[in-house]
Amino acid sequence: MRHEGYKNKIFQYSTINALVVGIYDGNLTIGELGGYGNLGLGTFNHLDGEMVALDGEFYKVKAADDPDVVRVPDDEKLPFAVVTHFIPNIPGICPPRKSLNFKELQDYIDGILNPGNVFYAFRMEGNFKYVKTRSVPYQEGPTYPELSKVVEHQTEYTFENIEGYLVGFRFPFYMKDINVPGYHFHFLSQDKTRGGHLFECRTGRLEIEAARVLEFRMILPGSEEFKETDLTVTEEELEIIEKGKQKK
Amino acid sequence: MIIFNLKFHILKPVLIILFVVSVIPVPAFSKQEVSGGKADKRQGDVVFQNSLINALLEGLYDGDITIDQLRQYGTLGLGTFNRLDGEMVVIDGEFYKIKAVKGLAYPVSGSEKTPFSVITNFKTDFSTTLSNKLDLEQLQTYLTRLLPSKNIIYAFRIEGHFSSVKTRSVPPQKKPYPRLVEAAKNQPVFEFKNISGYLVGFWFPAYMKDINVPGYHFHFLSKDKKRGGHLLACRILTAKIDVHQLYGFKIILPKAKEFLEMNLEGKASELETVEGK
Repeated sequence: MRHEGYKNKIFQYSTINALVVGIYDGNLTIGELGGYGNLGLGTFNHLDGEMVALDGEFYKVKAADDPDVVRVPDDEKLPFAVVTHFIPNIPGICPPRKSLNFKELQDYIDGILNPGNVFYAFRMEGNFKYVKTRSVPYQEGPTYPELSKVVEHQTEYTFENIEGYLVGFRFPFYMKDINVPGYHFHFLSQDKTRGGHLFECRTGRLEIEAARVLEFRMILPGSEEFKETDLTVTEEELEIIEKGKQKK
Repeated sequence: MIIFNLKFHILKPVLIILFVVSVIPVPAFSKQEVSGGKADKRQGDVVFQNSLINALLEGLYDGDITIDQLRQYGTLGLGTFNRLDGEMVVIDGEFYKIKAVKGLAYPVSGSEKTPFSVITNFKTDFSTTLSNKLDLEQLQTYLTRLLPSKNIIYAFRIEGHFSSVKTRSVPPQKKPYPRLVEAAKNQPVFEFKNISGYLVGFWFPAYMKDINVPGYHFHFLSKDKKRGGHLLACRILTAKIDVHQLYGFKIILPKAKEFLEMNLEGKASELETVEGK
C-alpha cells in the first residue's frame, strides 16, 4: 500500500466558509460522522454549541448559562465537522519543559514538526494552569445571522487548574477557504464536564500526540442553502471568529 | 432554431424545449428542477485528485501514484505524467497520453506515474444536446447557465463534432525542473480541423482555487483516440453534453520532501497563463 505510516485520513463535512456565512444546518448525523473518525471537532445544527470528538465519543459544549458538556445522540445533525481515525505517527514528541501559552505551544509544535504543506491531527492530554474557551449559542433560524455576528454573543469560559484534552488540527494556508488555516483546537476537561473552542491556555504537564496526514476527504452539503449562498469570506472575518479578537 | 434534449436522470421526465434565439441559449428550467429533491449525495460521487495544481505550477512533476492506482478512483478525468510528459485524458475507463509531438495520443501503461491528476467515476446526472455552433467561451457561458450551483464540483463528458480544435501538450522536462509557467512557454500547439471527439473535464468552485483549476478545465481526445491535448480553443458543430454533479472530494498530498516547503498560494495569474485563459 501507499503511504505506509500515513494511514490517517481527515474527513470533513461542508466548508469553514459555509459556516462563516451562516449555513448552520447540515444533513450529516453524528452516527455517520463516527464512521469517518474518532477524534475531531465541529459544531451542531442551529450552531448549538461546540463539538469535541475524543476517543470515539462525541460531546457538545453548550453556551450561555449552561456550561455543561453533554454526550451527543447518534441522530443529532451537524453543519460542519472535521474528524479522523487518529493513529499517532510522529514518535518522540517530548512534553514541553516549561509552561506555554497557546502561541508558545503552537511555536513549540511548529519547531518539532516543521509542518509545511501537509495536514496534522492532534490529541493532547495534560493539566493546564488555565484554559480560556468559548462556545456559541443556539440560533433559531431558518435564516441565520453570519458567524461574525453570532460570536458577538458567544459565551467565554475560563477554567483554572484543570485536567483535560486538546483535540484539533493544523491545515496549510492553501486550505483557507475550506478549513481553518493553522492550528484549531477544541478543549475537553478530563471529567468531561467543561470544554469549548480554545482561545488561550497556559500549559502544565502536557503529552502531545500527533499524526501527519496526507489524505483529505470532504463532503459538501446538498442543501439549496449551500448551493445558492455566496461562500466568499475575508481573512479578517475568519480571524475574528477563530481567535476572538473582536472583544472590546 | 436550436433544439435541446434535456434528460434529467434524477427526475426522469424528458423535456424537449424549443428555443428561437440568436444568442447563447438559456435553458428554461429552474435550479430546483436540476438538483432534484435528493438531500446530500454522499456515497460514491467523489472527485479524486493527487497533489495540487499549485504544486504542479511550482514544478513538482514527479508523483508516486501509478496509473493502476489511479484507475481505482475513476473512469473519466485529466492530468499529466511524471516529468510533465504529456497531457492525460481518461475516458470510459481508458487512459491516454497526448505527447507534445504532433498531439498524438497513446495508450498508457499501468506502471506509469502521475504528479497531478483529477478523476471520477463518471455518471450522468443530466445531459443536453447542442446543435448550434459554439466556441469554447460560448460553451462555458452555456454550461454556467446550466449548472445548479457555483459551490459544488462538476465533471463533463462532451461528445461532439468540431469544425476546429486547438490543443497543447508539454514535452518531458529535465531536472532541475523549470516552473510550469516556464515549461509552458515552449509548449507546442496543435490544430485539428473537422474532427469528431471528446472533451473531458471539470468545473471547480472558486474556493478551491489553490487546489485545482477554478472554473472549467478540459482535455480533448479525438474519437479515433489518435489526437488530443489540453484544450485551448474549439468550435463545436454538434455535441452531446453529459454532466455529473459532485459533492465529494478527496485529495492525496505528495510524499515528496520538496512539497513541504513550497509556496502554494496566490498563483491565479500564473495559472491563467498556463491554462491558456
